[in-house]
Amino acid sequence: MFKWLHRFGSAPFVYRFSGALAPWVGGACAVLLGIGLYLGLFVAPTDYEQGESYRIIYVHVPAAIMSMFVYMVMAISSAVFLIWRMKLADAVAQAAAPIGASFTFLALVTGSLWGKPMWGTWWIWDGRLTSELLLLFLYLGYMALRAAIEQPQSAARAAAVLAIVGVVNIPIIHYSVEWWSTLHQPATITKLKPSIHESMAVPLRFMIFGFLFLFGYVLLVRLRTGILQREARASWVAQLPEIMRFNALAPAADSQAVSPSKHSETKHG
Amino acid sequence: MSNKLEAKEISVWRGDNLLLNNVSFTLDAGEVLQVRGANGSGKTTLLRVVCGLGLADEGQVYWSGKPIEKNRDQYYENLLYLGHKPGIKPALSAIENLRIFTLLNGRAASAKTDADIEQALDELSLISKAHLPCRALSAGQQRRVALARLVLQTAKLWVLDEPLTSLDKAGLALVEQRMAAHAHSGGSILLTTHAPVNMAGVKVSTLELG
Amino acid sequence: MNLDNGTSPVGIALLIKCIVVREWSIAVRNPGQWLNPLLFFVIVVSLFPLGIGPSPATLETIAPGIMWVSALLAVLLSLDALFDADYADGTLEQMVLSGQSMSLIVLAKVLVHWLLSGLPLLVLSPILGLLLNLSLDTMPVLMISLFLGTLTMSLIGAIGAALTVGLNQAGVLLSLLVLPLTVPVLIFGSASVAAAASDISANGPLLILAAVLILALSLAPLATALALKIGVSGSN
Repeated sequence: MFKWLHRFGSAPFVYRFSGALAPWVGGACAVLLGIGLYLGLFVAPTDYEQGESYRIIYVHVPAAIMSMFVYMVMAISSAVFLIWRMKLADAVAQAAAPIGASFTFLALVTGSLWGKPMWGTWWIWDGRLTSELLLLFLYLGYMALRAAIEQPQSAARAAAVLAIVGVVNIPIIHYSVEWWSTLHQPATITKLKPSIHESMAVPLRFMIFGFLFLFGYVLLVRLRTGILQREARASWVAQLPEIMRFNALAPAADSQAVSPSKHSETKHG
Repeated sequence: MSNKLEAKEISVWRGDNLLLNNVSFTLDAGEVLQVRGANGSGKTTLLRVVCGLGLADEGQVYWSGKPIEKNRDQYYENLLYLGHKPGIKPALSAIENLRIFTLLNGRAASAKTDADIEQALDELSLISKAHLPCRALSAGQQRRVALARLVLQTAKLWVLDEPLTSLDKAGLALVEQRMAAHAHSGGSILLTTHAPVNMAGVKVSTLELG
Repeated sequence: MNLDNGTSPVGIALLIKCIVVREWSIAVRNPGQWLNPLLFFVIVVSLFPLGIGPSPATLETIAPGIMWVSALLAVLLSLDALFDADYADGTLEQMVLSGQSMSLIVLAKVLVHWLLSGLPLLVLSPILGLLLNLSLDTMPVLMISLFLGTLTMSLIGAIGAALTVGLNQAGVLLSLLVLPLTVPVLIFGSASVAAAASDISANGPLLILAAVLILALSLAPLATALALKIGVSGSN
């Protein structure tokens, strides 16, 4: 088990493995999103209350689901990093944060766009939208804290603590906002009707899985970049074909960035 | 139980800069080790890693043969660290300042009273200033307040970062005498100084950094 | 993960007493540290009528929100300095190295901080409530909710203060980290006052506030202690 963990935590292995995996995940994402968008925008019937504007749920709902999911991924990786000192887990959390923030932002923008035809106003302090807004603040706080601490090790550990504190708070924030919104608008507008017709739900499922794979793809790509940054002085990085090609192209500029130094052996994991 | 401090192959990176490269040493009971090196050679960093305040990228520090993270309680019971920042509150008097140290580091068996603190301050010829807020003291006098901990606490291992700065001649002699006595009684000292240390009858080994 | 350094040979009660006495003597000798946030609270509350207009009816409806947001900001402002002095003069690293439970030290510090910032705020709040046309009957609920809420705020804020210890411009970052986390306190705090103002029982929100406080009391010191250890290890 530990050997496996160690192998899985070793940077060169993960770099190569994620490099091999990324095109497949990206391909699956393109197919799922293609089918989902086609079914959602052209095949699914028009809603008799909301007309065509309801179709924005095919972006809004998956983005909102992913915004929560990514925070969970971040918090779990942070816990793994703090408990087992697995640096790779921190790399995952760091790579995931801006993706999660983007999903949250997308959910907010699409929610607001949807609100205009539905409520006649760009913004309404509806429970879900407010929760999304607060979630965006949590993401931005995480990223700001990371950016503010100079020493990478401390930045990683402090950010990990914040992510865990955040994940403990998210349910409390969520339910208090829910409570608050029912308090102030007794007749709440529920966005998603409890039952949605199958012809509308199928494209939504495609889109949700498409977004999941989109997250996976972007995460893998960002993780690879993150690993290269963290391991810039390791000898295995300098021996990568893509780095050697780059070094050959720009012999003067690279010397500081990715050349192996005398002490090139760093510990992975 | 041996009170042996061991650092094995400590490496610390600062950005792209390898600050400490495979530093190893052992410090047995009764020994004094002086860490030397130019400014920026990593003396303070090494001391902080030894105390468990800083993280090493590689390597491990052992106390009595066990890694310090696994042996925290026992290690910290035996450790006295005096850094650049002495932990003296300007708003509090010398006595009030020392009271917290004797409590934080104290063990029930060796509880210190205010009388002990006054005695320690007397030894450092600070007794007349014992009740003044420390902000009214000079830098050297504040340093002496911090150094009173060497008299008060019963730690086996002293880790002292530049303990002799801003001390006058009398203060210097006093601290050197204190350190010699500590070494003679089986304590060990890891310290950094720019000036050579003179301790009667104590062999001082050196570790050159950078 | 080593959250705590384990048993302390010196009694816990003695340790807490000593930290409390020490923090108290420091704070009493630096009155600005706790007086300024209090003054800030008073000024912010009195700015609202100037911005919104003095109509008593309007003020009465928004008074719970104004009181609560101002209290939140005042507590936050006072938290900025919670660990910074200890960090700057090296006390913090001595505390970490003492082998005593860091969570207990944190808890003692936060309690003293609350006694100096939260409690005076609590005492002042009925007077400010009167300025905003809150009825006298709502004052007990206002004070109970502020008691539960400001204590929770101090505990949550301590996490943020520990995470940003020793950083430049920590104040702004601290607000960014902590304010979203205090939303539940704000919601239930102002809701309880609003309920009392319209003669509805405020027990529900108050009980939830109490539950949040208990949760914060049990978890926040652990996170704060861990964050402080990280902060200390990051400095040179």
